[in-house]
Amino acid sequence: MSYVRNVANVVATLLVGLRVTLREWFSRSITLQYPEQRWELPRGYRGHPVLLSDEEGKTKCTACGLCVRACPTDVITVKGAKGEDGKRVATEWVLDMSRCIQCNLCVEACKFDALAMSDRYELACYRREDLLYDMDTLLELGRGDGVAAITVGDKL
Amino acid sequence: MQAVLWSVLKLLIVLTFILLNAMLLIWLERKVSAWIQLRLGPMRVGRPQGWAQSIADVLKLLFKEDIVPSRVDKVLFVLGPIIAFMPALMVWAVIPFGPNFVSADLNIGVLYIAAIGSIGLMSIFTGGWGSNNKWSLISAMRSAAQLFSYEVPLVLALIGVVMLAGSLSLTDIIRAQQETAWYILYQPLGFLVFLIAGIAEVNRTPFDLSEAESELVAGWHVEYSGLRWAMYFLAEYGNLLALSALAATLFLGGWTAPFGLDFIPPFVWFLLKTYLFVFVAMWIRWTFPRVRIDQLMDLSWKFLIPVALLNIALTGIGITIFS
Ligand code: SF4
Ligand code: SF4
Repeated sequence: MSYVRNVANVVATLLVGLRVTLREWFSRSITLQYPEQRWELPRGYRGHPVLLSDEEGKTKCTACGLCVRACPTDVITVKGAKGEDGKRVATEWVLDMSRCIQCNLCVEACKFDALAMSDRYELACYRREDLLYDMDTLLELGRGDGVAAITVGDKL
Repeated sequence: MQAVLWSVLKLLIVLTFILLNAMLLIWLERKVSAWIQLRLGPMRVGRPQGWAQSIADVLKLLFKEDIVPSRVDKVLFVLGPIIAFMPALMVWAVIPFGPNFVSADLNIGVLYIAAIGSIGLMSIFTGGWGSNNKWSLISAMRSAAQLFSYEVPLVLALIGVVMLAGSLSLTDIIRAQQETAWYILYQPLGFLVFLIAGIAEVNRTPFDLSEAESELVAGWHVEYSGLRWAMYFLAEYGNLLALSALAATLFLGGWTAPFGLDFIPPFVWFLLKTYLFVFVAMWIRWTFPRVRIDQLMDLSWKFLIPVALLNIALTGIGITIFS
């Protein structure tokens, strides 16, 4: 008798398993066909820092060097000079993306709202030198859509 | 002369049929496994749904280097994949694709199928022994034990069908089903045993102990690559197709159209029923984990064979009472 009960038990559990796979079979796949389909990035997604510009399209960075000090991996290089109006402006601002850990500390350190984290995540390139982002590149990226999502003052 | 040409032509037709279907099955297997696991499976090669993936794979395998490891038994090593194709090919000789659409209507068809079923083991053992590799040998030994055990319930399950039809010819069995009803209704136990033993016969999960990637790397075809490996692989799916066709013929009335849906040609019905079993086999494969070797033996000797014998007894009683 216990043999029959055992067999019945086995058959029942096998059917449970089959039902689970059948249900999954006809439910929607969760695969994303990457280059054609993309994630909708969540608000506040942290890519890498970019430079923000003022109304005239110039950088807000004053080359104060706070971000350089804040950066734990030491990947920011800033050089500045006196501008025409007597205020200091950055003349060179280089981010070495090969070592940036996208930690947001530089953005938090900046007192002039000159930095923000963008939502850019496709960083692959063919040469290591291409990962050195200069000021113009970063300013350009800072004008993109992704940055608007994390607006100035919205420091996370 | 004409007869010879005609046989060669038939052979070629069947070979193409099997190869095309095997490639389709490989693609289907990947798709079904993906769907069950909430993935998409191959999507890139050929749109829609990556239909050309198997073609691309076969082409790639064709152009691969043909490696014969230095210490193998050359004759056996070369022979293995060729033998693998034989049972998958020979089964089709007796399977009716439609009325008067059968290569050779042997009057001992069922016996013939049971007999050539054992050739599959030969190919695995030839390859496994000839490879001169520990894993291959263990796999071949396991395979031998497994196929010996499962041949018995498989044939016992066929006996019930043969008793009902009163004939060993597959065409007669189909005709008998047309007069009464599909044998899956009369032989539910026999069908169950046939399905389980059949899946074990074609070495599919949960009975793929001889292939067991996680312990034996790839089992008997560890040393194979390129075209030879492709032949083993295609033969595996050819066997699955043959088993499904057999199940459709013996238990689902073969090419018979159900519910008087005669406008669909018999050949299409035959394929539909065959593919139904293919899907069931895939469903089972992607649901259950692999069994242990002792569980495998237990299942055959302690469950399938008693049940198959019970089925034969019940069928005999039933025939005596109702006729
Ligand atoms: S995100 Fe972090 S690592 Fe990257 S530059 Fe800013 S402070 Fe440095
Ligand atoms: S902290 Fe801001 S203003 Fe100062 S150097 Fe960095 S980016 Fe420029």
